[in-house]
Amino acid sequence: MHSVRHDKRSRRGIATVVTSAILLTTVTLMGTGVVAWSNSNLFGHERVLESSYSTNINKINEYLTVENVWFGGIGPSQFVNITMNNPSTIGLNVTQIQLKTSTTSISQQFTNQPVLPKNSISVQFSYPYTSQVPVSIYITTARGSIFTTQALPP
Amino acid sequence: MKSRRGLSSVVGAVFAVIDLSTTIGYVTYSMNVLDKYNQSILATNANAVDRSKEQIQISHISIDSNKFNITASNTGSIPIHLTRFWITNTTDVGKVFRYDIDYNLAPGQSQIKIGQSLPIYAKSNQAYDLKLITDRGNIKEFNVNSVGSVPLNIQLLALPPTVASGFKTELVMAVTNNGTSTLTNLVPVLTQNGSPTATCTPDPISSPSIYDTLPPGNTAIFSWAVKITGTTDGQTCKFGAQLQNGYNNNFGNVTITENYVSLTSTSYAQNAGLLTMNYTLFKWTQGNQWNSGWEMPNGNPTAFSIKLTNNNSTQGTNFYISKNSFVLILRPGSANTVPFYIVQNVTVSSTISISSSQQYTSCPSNDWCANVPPNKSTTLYFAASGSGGSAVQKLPNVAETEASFLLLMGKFSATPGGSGSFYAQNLPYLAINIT
Repeated sequence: MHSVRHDKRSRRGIATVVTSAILLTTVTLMGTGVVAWSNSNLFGHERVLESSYSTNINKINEYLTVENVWFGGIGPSQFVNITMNNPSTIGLNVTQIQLKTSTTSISQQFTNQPVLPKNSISVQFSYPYTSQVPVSIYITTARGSIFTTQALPP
Repeated sequence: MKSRRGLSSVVGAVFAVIDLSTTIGYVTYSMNVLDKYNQSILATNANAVDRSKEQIQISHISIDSNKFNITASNTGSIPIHLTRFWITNTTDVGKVFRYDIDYNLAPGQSQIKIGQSLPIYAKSNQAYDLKLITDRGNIKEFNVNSVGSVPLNIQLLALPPTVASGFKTELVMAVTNNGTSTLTNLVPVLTQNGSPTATCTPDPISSPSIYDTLPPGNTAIFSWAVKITGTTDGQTCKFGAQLQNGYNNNFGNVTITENYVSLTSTSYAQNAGLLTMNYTLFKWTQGNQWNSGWEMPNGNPTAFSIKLTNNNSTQGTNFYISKNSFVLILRPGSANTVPFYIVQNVTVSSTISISSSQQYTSCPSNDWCANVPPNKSTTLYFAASGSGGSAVQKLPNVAETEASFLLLMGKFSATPGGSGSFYAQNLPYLAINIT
């Protein structure tokens, strides 16, 4: 009788331990899962935010002026020379220069045409201009900014 | 059992703390990013505002010693740093020059002689496109054109276009820069056209002789004095004015017409009236007070007060009046005339009288007592029956309307004793009604 009572008490104790262990395990697993999920989620958002921030800020800070445009050459060797100045504090990469008149549109692509901060570059390429016909110049950067100006061939 | 149950709570709390701190960290990071973003936007806007505040004015352009001489002024409210200078020769296409410069201009400050130290020579007969670049990326573009590259608005005027023989007129040449570029070295050339019928002698050099620069929208004024002489009315001289090395057939024309003036004894005053009187201030007295108006009782001693103006503006040309000057009353249909000679003043009481100090001989030279300075007026008195006398003249003793005039003799001189230029003039017409 005494031993039966003893066995009953010890069995009841095991169940409690098992229950506690299950509870603890469950809490641990859930906590770990939630923490892992939240970290992953929040860090992911942080990365997106950082990327978005740097992209937008750089695009906002990007600034380019066209210092001078001059046209030269005769006949088939006509060319245009464009000097661009980057007065901003971040570097930029010119990827395309488009020259448009009322009747023509010519694009010049560039793979690597960096303009360092507080520096200027000149690019020259073949362009069959017509005298006294205004040309609109669109300069596109790697970040997608477009800077425009106009010039009048002599 | 109690302590094991508490362990789950502790574990849960730990995870809750981890989650909470991660969330707080994320929020803090986001806010920092947002703050940095705002700061960047503000900085970018500030740069844009600064860029828009930059103002450069080109206050002088000339070509000195075959080099550009440019003065640039910072008219904005922030400092400016000029970093580059572009020169494009638009006459000789394809010549483009770029120079690095380093001029810092505080607000209100000017930088002179830009271009004088650069290794490029400028030609006054060629056109240039010039650019100054600032470190913020602003561009101040301006042009220098020779006067021969574009037609200009040129006008030539004669002021007045009709002048008396022997007198001078002013030829005025107005050159308006109706273009968008600054013009340099404007030198006028005046030529006489056609076959003149009068003799015209212009000044050899205009005033001023040159305009170094003429900014867009401005007008340069050149003038010449031209003396014209002729013998008959309507004789003319024709002049044309253009700019040296100017645009072909770009000039202004004008015709000066001579108005021949005959200065005879009877017409001198009408044609050359240097003296004028103010008719509204004409006064007379026969005692007690000075009266206005033209009606006066007959037969009484009378004095006249007349305000005279010397219109000769030449300094030192006071008109000294001779004692032989008088107001002459002419009786219509009668040979009798009544002169009222000049006096220095009259005493007006119940009657009028001329004291010894008021006679026209009581001045140091016994004559030339009164004078009218250039461009000034003086009140003169006429009362004496004889030249320099003290007796007061009487009006004719009849009631009738008289014709009268003021005959002035004198000299333009700096002093009463100076020889001067003798001059006489009659001033018609004083109509006097004697009642």
